[in-house]
Amino acid sequence: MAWRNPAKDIERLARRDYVRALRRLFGYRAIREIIAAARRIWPTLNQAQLGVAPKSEFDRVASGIVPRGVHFKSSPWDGPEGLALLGFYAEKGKLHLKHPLIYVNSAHDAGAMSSALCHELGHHMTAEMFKEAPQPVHLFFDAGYAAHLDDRVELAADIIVSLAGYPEPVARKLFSTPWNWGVVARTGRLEPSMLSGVRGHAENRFGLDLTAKFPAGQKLNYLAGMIHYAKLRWGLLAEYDL
Amino acid sequence: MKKKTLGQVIKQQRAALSLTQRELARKLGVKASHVAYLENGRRRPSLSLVARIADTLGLDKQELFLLAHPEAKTLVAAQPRPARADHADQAWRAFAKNRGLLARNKVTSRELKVLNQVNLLGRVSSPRHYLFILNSIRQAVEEEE
Repeated sequence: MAWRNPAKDIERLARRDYVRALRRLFGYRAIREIIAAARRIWPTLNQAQLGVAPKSEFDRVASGIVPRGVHFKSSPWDGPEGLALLGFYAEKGKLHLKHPLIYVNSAHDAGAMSSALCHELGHHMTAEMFKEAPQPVHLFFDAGYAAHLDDRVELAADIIVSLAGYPEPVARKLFSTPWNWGVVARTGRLEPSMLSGVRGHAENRFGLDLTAKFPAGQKLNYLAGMIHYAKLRWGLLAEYDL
Repeated sequence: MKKKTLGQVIKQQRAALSLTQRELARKLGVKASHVAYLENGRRRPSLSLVARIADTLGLDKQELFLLAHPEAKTLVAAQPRPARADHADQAWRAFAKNRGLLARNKVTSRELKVLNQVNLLGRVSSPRHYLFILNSIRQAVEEEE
């Protein structure tokens, strides 16, 4: 999946009200179920900060996080076509797979790889919740964030990434605004102070420095991911007080 | 060639996604009998239901709308289709019709069927992604053996 018009697509993502998207797809109970499912594997989700392993250590660290009975593979696939794919999760039973498979594209930056791993693990954690509509493969493309806002399965996996990346104490510091306690919560544009807080957090915690020398397309994709997960986390705080 | 009806399209896509009428109805927020009526051409879906069916089954909203309301064809026929659906369609067609590529990579009909389900989700824009996914899964299967 490629950007049709990167600037416009990011602008649309920035403007979109994530609370509305969340409210449309998940009730409070469903959000609690997602967190409970995730905590069976990560007991400190939304409480402690998830670390990011350097690329050289990524496979070793990831193999320790991925639950037993799940394949984990990472390999580099670069070029515009390869980089479009961040990772995928294949459910067991399809194409003779006895166990689910998580693939992460190691051609990406370590921060993007960590969020991809987290997203695919999110699919594994919530597979039981969405077993009525099993999909053979859940693909994670770097230009697909806006589409996730209309897709329960993808958004559930993104919620886990967002809670892991911005645990509650961090989220309260970055995203608490007076209107969180208004009658109707909403998330519009990230205020400049919020955006600078998010950029600082991404740089300090995930080593994701957008001033670094990435190809232009990749930089836009990382910026889109940063906006998406930050706004999602803001929405979770504003609407569900998590 | 006789054109497919709305009911046939829904039924075919529902089967491709291995959904029962009851499961689809639950996702759409309607009764299972309503899905049966739609598939048999005995009911016409509302505009909002057309959109929900398209989202749930990964179908093109405009095509579905025109199947449900053919009288509107003259009003919307000139509208271009969304680029994403075009890309996804092209990628799948380029992959599935490339006999040489399929033969070289020994893609079985069963594998093709599963990859078609991936295509139905409408997100893949490059034929090489199908092959990459398939080969990654094959490697994992080999490791299991």
